[in-house]
Amino acid sequence: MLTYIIKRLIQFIPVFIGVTIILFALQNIVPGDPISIIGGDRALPPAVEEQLRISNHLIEVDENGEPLHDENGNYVETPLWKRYLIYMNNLLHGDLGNSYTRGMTVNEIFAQKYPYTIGLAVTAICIEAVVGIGAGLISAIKRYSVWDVIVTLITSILVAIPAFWLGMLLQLFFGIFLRQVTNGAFYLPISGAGGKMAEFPGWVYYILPAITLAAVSTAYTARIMRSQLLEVMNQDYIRTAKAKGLSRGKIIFHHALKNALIPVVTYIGIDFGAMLSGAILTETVFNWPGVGYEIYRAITQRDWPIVMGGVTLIVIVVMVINLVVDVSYAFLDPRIRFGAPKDQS
Amino acid sequence: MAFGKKKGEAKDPLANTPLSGILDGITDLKEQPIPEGHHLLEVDDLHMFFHTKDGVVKAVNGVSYTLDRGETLGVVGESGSGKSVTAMTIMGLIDMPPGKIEGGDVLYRGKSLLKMSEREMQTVRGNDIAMIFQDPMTALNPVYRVGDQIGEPLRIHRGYSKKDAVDRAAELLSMVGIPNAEQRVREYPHEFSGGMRQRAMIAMALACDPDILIADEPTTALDVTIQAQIIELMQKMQEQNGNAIIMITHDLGVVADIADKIMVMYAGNPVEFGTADDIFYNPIHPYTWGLMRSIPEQVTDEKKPLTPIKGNPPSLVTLPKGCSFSPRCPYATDLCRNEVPKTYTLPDGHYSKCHYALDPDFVKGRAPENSRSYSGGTPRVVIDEPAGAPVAGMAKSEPGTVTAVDGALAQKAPEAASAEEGEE
Ligand SMILES: Nc1ncnc2c1ncn2[C@@H]1O[C@H](COP(=O)(O)OP(=O)(O)OP(=O)(O)O)[C@@H](O)[C@H]1O
Ligand code: SF4
Ligand SMILES: [Mg+2]
Repeated sequence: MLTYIIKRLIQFIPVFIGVTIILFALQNIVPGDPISIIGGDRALPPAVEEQLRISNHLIEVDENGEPLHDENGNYVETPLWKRYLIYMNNLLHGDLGNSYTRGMTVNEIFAQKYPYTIGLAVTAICIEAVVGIGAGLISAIKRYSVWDVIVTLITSILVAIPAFWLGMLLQLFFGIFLRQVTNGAFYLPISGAGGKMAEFPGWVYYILPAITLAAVSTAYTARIMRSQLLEVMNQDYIRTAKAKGLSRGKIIFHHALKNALIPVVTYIGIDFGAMLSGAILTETVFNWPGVGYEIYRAITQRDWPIVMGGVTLIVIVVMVINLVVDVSYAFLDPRIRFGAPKDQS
Repeated sequence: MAFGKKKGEAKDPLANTPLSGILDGITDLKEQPIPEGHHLLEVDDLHMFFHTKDGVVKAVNGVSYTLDRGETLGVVGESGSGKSVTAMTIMGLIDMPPGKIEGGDVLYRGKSLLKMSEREMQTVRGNDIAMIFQDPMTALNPVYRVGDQIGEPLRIHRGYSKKDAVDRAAELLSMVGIPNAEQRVREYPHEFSGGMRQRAMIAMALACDPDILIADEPTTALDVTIQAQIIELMQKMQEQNGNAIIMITHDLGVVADIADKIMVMYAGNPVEFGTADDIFYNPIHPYTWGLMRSIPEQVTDEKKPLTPIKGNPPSLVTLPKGCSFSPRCPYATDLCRNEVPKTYTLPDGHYSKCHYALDPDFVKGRAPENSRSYSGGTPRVVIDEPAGAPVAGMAKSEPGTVTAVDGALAQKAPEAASAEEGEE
């Protein structure tokens, strides 16, 4: 198992290099001089601008930190590959660079934003796991019953609704309609994540965004759970279990569930990775101060260090989550657990 | 948990048993004596059909036999003839729907298995009657250790602790000839070869010393040497425990050595049933003849050409009118094609579903040459049974219906006789 994990970690390296190279190239294809972005509408004094170019590694400097000039007196631009190496070097030292527009380091920004994204993702994944697996189980066990019909109906609707639209509907109903009907006695917050001055305790702010974020995946989880359990119940080993004299409940919970859960766990795990990468739509609809919204904002303002840093972080998070999923998969499925070391040879 | 019980099921544990209800639930069914006039297992005119979109699949269409302790019944027939489904119907392993019992009964120690509640059946399954399934590759749960799976029947029927069950599983595994059993019980099914999985299945089935062991093609997946070992193993167990075995196979050769009784199935129907001697030396059904001509003989002096049975078994949805074997039977007549043959039973319980079963002239010269029926020299005692007659084997205990005749001049059943006159 350990060798398997190490092997997977080593596999991260080429993926990581590939992704960062592509991003780095892309940001330089997009037109626009970053320094003018930093300046915004104002024209910067030449000395400040020069300093910025140096600190952002855009131009070559000599040993004393003075900018180099070519024969025409222009700055010598640092070639792309060199900038990439500088970027990677800083990255390995945990430095994601400075935001062009926020006057903060990218590290500081993500340290501020990531907890909100993680909090939202964890809440949503709990909803997804509990409600999705529960509904799928009931639906499969009580196949063709009223419950099954209800679950099938709801999941069919949910998978067809875009997340942002569901978010807006929830905002309308719980935030505006309920507030009017109850004369402001009961409603839910529809924007932001609270704070010291907020009118609700912090967790209340999670309700609507988490439901919005979890909705579609919960529906998928329920469907996968249902179809997997029904499929597993048709397997020969279930008949063997019945032939031993096990009751239906024992057959389902001892023999079928573990097998049926394998694909469900994979789906939920991968979904968790996706949620940790920042749910751009949900975060935007709810003004959620997470990384998704931040990256969205950075893209519109061409704040490349944030975009680069954000995506780099996401790549790492997704790869780690996928590894965790695969490892937990192996705990559920002995065929994989023992198959893995053989792959090494 | 409410899953186990079917809604609206009348739960009467005393139904069909002359024994007091006090015994029920305290003693296993297999510990109770077999009531007077009953066999260990009596399958009586059992019908089980699948109701599918494409029509009604008549998978079990009038199966009857009896089985006593220490006996081995061989069930033979082509693929799709309903051998597995019959066994699974007896054990209550068929999902209903799509399956539905359309008639007949299964009595185990005089008690109807079909009328038992799901709860009662759970105490019978794996404990009184155990089954080894056809495909060992898929019959074990891939995510649990083999030892836990083998020990599971002990935990549910005998109240073993987890550890005791695994210890016993190791003993069982070494009994079925798997070396290093103590380590092997901790492995997962995918670490076992096909033959080892089959042995694990046997160990699992034997865990609670079942009264009846149903083995569904237990050796098909194995090579010949292992086949012989496994069959020997089951026979050894049978000598020790005195249990009955139902051995399902499509290969007459496999049952030749070990079966006391043989049922030949065709299209969901037992076309011939009798002792192994009856089937091998005195077969009276053309399908049995065909089967015998199409198996290679293991020890034979002269080389005989194999004669396959021409054509394919009929669809179980649209069975041919009359005798279901008639489209492939070389001796089929108009009578065969129009009328379903009745069950013609000899007093020793040997029966056949062929219009001409009791006609020695028909049998003579048509049965395989090495059988006694070929020369037509068997003394016969003939009974004519009306359709839907009681269990074949019980005919012995019903004096009065037996007509004894001697020599080859068997008295024909009226139907058979008249039919013959009409046709030839
Ligand atoms: N659940 C089901 N629904 C409908 N038809 C079924 C079902 N299960 C089995 N059958 C049909 O019942 C018939 C008998 O099948 P069965 O498995 O008993 O054959 P078999 O004699 O055991 O054959 P084999 O030697 O291949 O194992 C087949 O035609 C099969 O298609
Ligand atoms: S009844 Fe006719 S068709 Fe059927 S087996 Fe006998 S001879 Fe052949
Ligand atoms: Mg079969």
